Amino acid sequence: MSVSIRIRNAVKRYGQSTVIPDLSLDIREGEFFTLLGPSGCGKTTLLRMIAGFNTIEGGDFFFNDRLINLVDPSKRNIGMVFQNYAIFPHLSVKRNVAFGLKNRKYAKDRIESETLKFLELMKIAEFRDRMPEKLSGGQQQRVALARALVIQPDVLLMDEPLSNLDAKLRVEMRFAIKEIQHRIGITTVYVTHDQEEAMAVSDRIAVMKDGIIQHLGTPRDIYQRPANLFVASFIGRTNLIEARLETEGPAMTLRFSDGYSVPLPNVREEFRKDMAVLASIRPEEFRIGAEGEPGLRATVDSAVFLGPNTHYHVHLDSGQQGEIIQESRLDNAIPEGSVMSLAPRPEMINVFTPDGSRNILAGVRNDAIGA
Amino acid sequence: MKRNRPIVNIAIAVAAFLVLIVELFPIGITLLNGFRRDVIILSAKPFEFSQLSLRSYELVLARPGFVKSLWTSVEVGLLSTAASIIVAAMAAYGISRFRFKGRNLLAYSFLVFRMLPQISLVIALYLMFKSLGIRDTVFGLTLAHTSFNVPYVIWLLLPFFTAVDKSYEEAAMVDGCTRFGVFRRVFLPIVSPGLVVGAVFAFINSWNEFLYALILTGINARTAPVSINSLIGSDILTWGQVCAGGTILLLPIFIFTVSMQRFLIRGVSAGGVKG
Ligand SMILES: Nc1ncnc2c1ncn2[C@@H]1O[C@H](COP(=O)(O)OP(=O)(O)O)[C@@H](O)[C@H]1O
Ligand SMILES: [Mg+2]
Repeated sequence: MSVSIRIRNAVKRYGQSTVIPDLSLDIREGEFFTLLGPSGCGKTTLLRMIAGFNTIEGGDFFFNDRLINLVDPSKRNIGMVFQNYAIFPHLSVKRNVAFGLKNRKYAKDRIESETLKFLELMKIAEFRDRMPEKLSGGQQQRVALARALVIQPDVLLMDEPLSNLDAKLRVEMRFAIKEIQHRIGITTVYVTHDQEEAMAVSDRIAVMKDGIIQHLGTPRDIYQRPANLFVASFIGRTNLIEARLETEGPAMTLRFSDGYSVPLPNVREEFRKDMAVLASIRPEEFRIGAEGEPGLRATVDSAVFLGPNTHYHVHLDSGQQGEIIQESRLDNAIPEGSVMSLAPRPEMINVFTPDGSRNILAGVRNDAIGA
Repeated sequence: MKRNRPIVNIAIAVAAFLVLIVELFPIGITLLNGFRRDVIILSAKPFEFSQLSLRSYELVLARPGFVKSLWTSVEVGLLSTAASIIVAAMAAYGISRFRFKGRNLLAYSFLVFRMLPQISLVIALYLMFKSLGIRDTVFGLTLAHTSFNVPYVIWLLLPFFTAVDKSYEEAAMVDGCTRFGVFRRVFLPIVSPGLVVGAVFAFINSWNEFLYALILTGINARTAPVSINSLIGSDILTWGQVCAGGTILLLPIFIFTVSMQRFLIRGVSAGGVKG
């Protein structure tokens, strides 16, 4: 049985320092939910509050309608995958997976069959009698997942489960985790600081900073219409360019320092006035034209060919540096030192208030409570 | 990196051998003289193979109470080891896992208890044991040995315990284990090399202990070291028997440490105990 998780006004303090000042959150039943943010922003702290390993200094945590603040971790019916897997070193693979079932005092043959089912699901049945020290990192990861899922928990919690694997295996395990979660349909809270990983696995992502949710939405929402400058620069790469918002009758225009401008039809009502702004444009969202065509004039400082894409480091006439990504073709290489014209795709630009705290465009979808 | 030259290796081997000889010399003397008659030892005759005999062993084993004292030593050693490991494991777990008022003070108090000179306490223990009626009993001596073994083993176990990542216990907890279940079914097996090291040292402490055994016991619960000591103090010099008895006392230590060697090396390196 999956549950929804409701968190209201959670507060976490360690001595004098407040790690989570006031956090509210709704996690839907059966969804793959990710807490994403830089190291130290409080992701693990929040996850451990959900698990019951941390004291709660304020607020309420609910699984469905059941208040769990004071429920012991062993009674919350959660599965958890730890960063170091925490596979019991003195038990074989099979007995590791069966551990939780034994605690629940299931009948012997039921333990046997459930254990086998999940060993097979995680494709580790052939290792069932091995000791953990004889397993590779990826296999240990699978054991940890099988052990977490075999007890049929209401919630699956994972704290940076892939961070100890090498790059190739990490990508492989992403899909394995996503697939299994989808198959079982269990409410999952996943913690990572890797934005690419978060985008690959999640239904929805909460981007955190300093214990505060900055933006909560689907990977597409937060990548394409980030709620603020922090989210825009934490998720993927972006070029930040100072510009001005100008009213021309009922229409709005974004004007860059060298005079180039683009129409901006989707500015929110409250921001429809002349003001300084920050434009955020992703490296892949420029049309590259020859020198003299309409656009921002830019000089190529260096080019890096990466197969499908070529990355250019450029500087604008204002001296500002930026990064451009171009799809590699047979004949479109741009030599270093040449001058080009960069025309951002208007609908892909994001525009923030000068302090970066808000996106002034309409269409930001943010499920964060109070946003 | 520079390759080790053979000459350096040889020098290291020779130095190690010399150290070993110095360390083993007294043991060798004991071993040898156990197989010589008292008269021959006392006459300071140079060694000849013809001198070897089992007479000293026969004499010491035939002494009234000697064999019984060996058994008492084993009994007290095992009982006090078991009691110390159980108490110390729980105490060290509490200190390494729970934050509570006075935790550091408590931990340091064990260090202090471990350093107290036995001679300062032995008369007090004698008077207490006497009024409790447990003087000269296996129970009483076990209690006395446990009193120094518990703080000793706590300090020995702490580095093992704090080195265990908490996530093992947390994983067991989300799997539905109670606190005590976590301790017994997950934590103790993980720290078992440490427990073995603790048990070996606790047993050896008790086996070698002399002062408490001397003062707190009489005839009933006399241990082997006290029993051998009584040979030295008598009118007739019985060095051969003392060496034979001493050799017998060495035996369990060798058997114990050699059979536990695998654990000991693993445990000593895992716990960061410098030996
Ligand atoms: N047990 C603790 N005692 C004191 N401070 C802690 C403790 N655990 C975490 N913190 C602090 O709380 C903040 C958030 O930590 P954490 O939740 O681990 O971050 P994240 O998982 O996002 O990297 C950090 O500043 C960290 O130093
Ligand atoms: Mg963390």
